[in-house]
Amino acid sequence: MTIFRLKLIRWKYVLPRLAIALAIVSGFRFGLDPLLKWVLVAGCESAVGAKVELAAVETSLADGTLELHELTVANPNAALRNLFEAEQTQLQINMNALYRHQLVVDSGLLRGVQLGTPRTTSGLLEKPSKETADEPSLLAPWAKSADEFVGAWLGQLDDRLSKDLTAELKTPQLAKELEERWPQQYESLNAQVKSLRAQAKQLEQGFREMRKNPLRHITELQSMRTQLITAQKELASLQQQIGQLPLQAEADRQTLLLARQADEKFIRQQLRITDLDQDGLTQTLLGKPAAQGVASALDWLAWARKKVPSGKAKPPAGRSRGTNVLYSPRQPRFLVKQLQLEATAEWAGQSLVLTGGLQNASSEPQLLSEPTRLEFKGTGAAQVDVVATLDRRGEQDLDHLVIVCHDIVLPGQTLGDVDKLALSIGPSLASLNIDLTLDDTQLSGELALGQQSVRLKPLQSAMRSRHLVAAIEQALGAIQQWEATVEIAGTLTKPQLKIESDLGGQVARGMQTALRQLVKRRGDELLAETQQKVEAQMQRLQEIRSQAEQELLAKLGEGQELFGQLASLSGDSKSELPIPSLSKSLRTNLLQK
Amino acid sequence: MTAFFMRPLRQLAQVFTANESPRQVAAGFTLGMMIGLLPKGNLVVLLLTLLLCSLRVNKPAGLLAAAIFSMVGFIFDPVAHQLGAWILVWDTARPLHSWLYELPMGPWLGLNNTVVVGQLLVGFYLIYPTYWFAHKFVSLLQPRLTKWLSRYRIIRWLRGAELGSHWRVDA
Repeated sequence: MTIFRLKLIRWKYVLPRLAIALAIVSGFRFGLDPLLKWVLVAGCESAVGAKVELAAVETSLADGTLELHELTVANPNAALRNLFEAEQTQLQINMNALYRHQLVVDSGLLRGVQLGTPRTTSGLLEKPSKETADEPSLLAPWAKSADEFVGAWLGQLDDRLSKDLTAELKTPQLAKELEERWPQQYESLNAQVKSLRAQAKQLEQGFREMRKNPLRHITELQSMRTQLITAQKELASLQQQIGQLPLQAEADRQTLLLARQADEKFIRQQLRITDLDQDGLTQTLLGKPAAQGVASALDWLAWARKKVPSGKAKPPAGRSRGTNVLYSPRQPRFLVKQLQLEATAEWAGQSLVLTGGLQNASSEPQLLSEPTRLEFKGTGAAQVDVVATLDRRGEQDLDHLVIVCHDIVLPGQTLGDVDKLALSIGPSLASLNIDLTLDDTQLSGELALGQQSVRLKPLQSAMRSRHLVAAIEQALGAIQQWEATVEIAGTLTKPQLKIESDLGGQVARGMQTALRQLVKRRGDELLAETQQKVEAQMQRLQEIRSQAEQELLAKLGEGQELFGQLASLSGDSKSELPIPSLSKSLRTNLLQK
Repeated sequence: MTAFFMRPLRQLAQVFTANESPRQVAAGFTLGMMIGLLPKGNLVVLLLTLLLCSLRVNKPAGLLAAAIFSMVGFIFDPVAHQLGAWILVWDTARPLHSWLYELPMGPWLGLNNTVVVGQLLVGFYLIYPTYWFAHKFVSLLQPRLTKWLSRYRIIRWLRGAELGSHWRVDA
């Protein structure tokens, strides 16, 4: 060969080096796939913080294609669950850009992607990352406080309705007191009657003795006469007391009436229902679904903020000597122009087919004319449209997320304390629209939530206030659908939500009306029951009193007659009886018995 | 092993001891001048270095020139930058530059850098003068230096080592 005869070239130097270069190129070609596999697995594990498995990598440098087979990325937050599995990943690499140290994916396809699949072995790396910490959602305290609010309200109501107020009513206590007081009064009157009768007998006996020898007992006559006058006065007083017994019954009735009025006031006070805060109730009823929706959206944004590089990144340092003149716009070191996605996912126990794509994902987004855009559509049990725009081109990072979901099946939930009284919201269909913007650190947006086929009913596990349960069930039965708007403000770390919906108002009004009727009925029943008992007591007392009055008056009748005769014998109290008249009087038949 | 370590010294001695022709020395020196002037880290420098190693030119002279002109090159940088910038933004040459830049390995050539282009032009301009002066210099000095250096034992030993190396005999 002519070229070997050329003396100009040092073939002794060139040929071994050419052979070495060929060996290196061959080694690179055949070792590229395993090397890429190792690099991809190591890189993905480092980025995700969980195990990454890859069955095979196939590359074609001529076509610039890269195929990944059976890529499995574990979930860093769940040991036995995958983040996703992809049967096949095809990437069309721009080889021209690769020569310029740029990895540009002109187009790509992720086929057979399954999200959240289970795995048999733990997918966690030995050294857990900080992201694996199970932190509660930012909105969890917000939803919890709302839940506690209605739980406390319902619990308080249940306590009040379950409480036995009869023991605290004044009317039955007063009636009992009157009933207990009467025997003492009767005993006292009866004792006085007996005492008077004994006194009358004693006076009669005295007068008998006096009849035998009036002159001898002339000095005692004055004393007996005084005793007789006193006894007559006591008799009159006793008669007056007995005669006033019907009047006392009337006074007791008046006292009982006052006590009843006080009881009515007491019952109204005890069973008074404080107005249920409509906004609070809205927050309670919608807090969880709204917070879940917003939390998911915020998680997306937070993840995007963390993973998608900021446009404020400094350009790479140029040569120290001279200036590079660029004849085409500078391209980022890493760029995915378009990546299609075909995936299936489980959501609320239902299968969802997701199709969509990622555009303009880049390591230096400030170099691109369009922002990064992730768009996918979910079909199947629910209709989901998600469009996320991550703009890192300006001075401030601007993220925009729009989620439109129809026919989502929301799982049931329980509000309140099941040991006392709780509300159960059955599974229902819902629609959810989220429009969220994160401008630098400032969060703004709106979440529109609509729910159909709602079934709200109280839980009867406690079975304490059946009437209350029935009233609430009746009040909530009419509510079947509602709509709510959640205004989102604040920052990503401290989001603020404000819910506006007619649901809270509907539920609060219904519940309050039903409960007020229930409480009024309960109070009326309580008062009627008490009144019936008291009236029976008072009727019985009245009968006893009338009987006692007759009996006492009958007993007094005998004494009264005797006192009358003795008084007629003793003469007028103002003028003294002359001895002859007294002697004559004493000899009458009156004292002969 | 000894031959391997002694080779640079031997080759340095060759520059002055007429084992290689003045043309080879001058050509090596000229290539070294180009390598020295250009900023490193681009394919042009790599290609020139490959040429220096692959062609039958005096490598030590080239390496010596590269070392000298690497230091001298910084002095020419402002001029080279102006010249390169003028060439790179010259509308007539823009399609050529764009074509070069868009080549798969285009950016690796470094031909979009003002100093690289400027120094390359300076280098091209200096090729003939450098070669002519180097040739003249070596032609004049080589016989005298050879005679003078041959008096020293170390040079004789190095030349012997070179011969030994030729005949596969380690010194």
